[in-house]
Amino acid sequence: MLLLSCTNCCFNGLQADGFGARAGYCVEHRAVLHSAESLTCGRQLRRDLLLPEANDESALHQQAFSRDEIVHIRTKASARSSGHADGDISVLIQTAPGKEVTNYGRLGTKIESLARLSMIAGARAELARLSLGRTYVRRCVQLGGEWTSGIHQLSWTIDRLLEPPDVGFDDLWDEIPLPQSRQRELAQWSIVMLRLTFLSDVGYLAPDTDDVAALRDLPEKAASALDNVDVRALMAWIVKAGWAAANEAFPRARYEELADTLHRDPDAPALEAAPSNARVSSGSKRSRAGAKTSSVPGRSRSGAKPRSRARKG
Amino acid sequence: MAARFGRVWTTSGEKAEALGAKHLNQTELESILKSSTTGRAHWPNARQRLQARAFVERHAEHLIDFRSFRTKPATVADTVREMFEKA
Repeated sequence: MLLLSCTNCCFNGLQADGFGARAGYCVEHRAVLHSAESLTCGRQLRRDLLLPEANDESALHQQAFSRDEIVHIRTKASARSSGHADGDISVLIQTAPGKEVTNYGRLGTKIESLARLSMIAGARAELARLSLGRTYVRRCVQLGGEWTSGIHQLSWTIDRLLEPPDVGFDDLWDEIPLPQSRQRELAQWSIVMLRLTFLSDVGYLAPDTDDVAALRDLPEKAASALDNVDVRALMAWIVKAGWAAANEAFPRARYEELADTLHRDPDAPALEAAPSNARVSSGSKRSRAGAKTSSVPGRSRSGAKPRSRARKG
Repeated sequence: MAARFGRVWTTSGEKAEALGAKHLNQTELESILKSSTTGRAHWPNARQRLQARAFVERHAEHLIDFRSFRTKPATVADTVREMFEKA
């Protein structure tokens, strides 16, 4: 994989380095990517970098490649002209994640697609949700919205932190001289780091004074505690420190308050008056931890009430 | 894939070492990319270092280390020309 290729781009939610679908799909260009590792365009958002680094690299990448066309990295020849990008999604839609990704953004339904991806089991769906989720929140803020456009994904991601990624052997597609069991571990590592990277992104998009900003350096903290690319050690760190840090930065109680503020139905009763069974996950481990850690739910570090303006990306 | 505007150049670890550079095989690369703040591949960002280590492992990376030429930079260009051949 080339770091500058579509394989390493968040807009291609179906593939990552060594796992995912055989063909990729670019939600920006609405194109199936054949041999994505040799293709790119000026819109690339690198999956392996945290948001500030990815934005810096994106600015440089746009100087070298057009945003309007997928091209071969080495020749800049059109990928559509060579047949390496096309609109035939018939194979991709045979899997549930492929169907959601190829539908992503059609009819203004990005957040609905992300919600459906969050309910599909397996690493492919999680890879797609996290990759496209990064582009969604980033773009919302670029268009003048707030980091709060990502609160649902933020909550879904924190809820999954303690679960080992569900990577199957049929999710691996590299023919490389590594045992499949190790390839699987590397893929799991990539997913867990992508979870932390998504949390970090939202932290960077939030104001410095907000509690959520504490998520910015979560991936770096995790890596600093490890000597090797060892997914078990990484998960152990999350159990020991990462999960609590994430919940402290964004407690369940704050999520519920923000969600209620952002999506309140004027005809519905206020949160306090809602039926007791309205929160399906209210008995989750995170919910209980959030209740402990959030002494002032809905408040930022500065003590200010959160602004509630959000905008769809 | 060299295509129209590129060209593939080849060399070997033995040839690189014979010309004064150091060939770092995959095992050596992985060992120096441990997440510490010291060593030959020290780097202030632990996440990036581990990411590099994952790339090295997944793609069986190896590289030629030209740091021995830091004290004789004028000779690097000639050495590189001698080291690589057009494929």
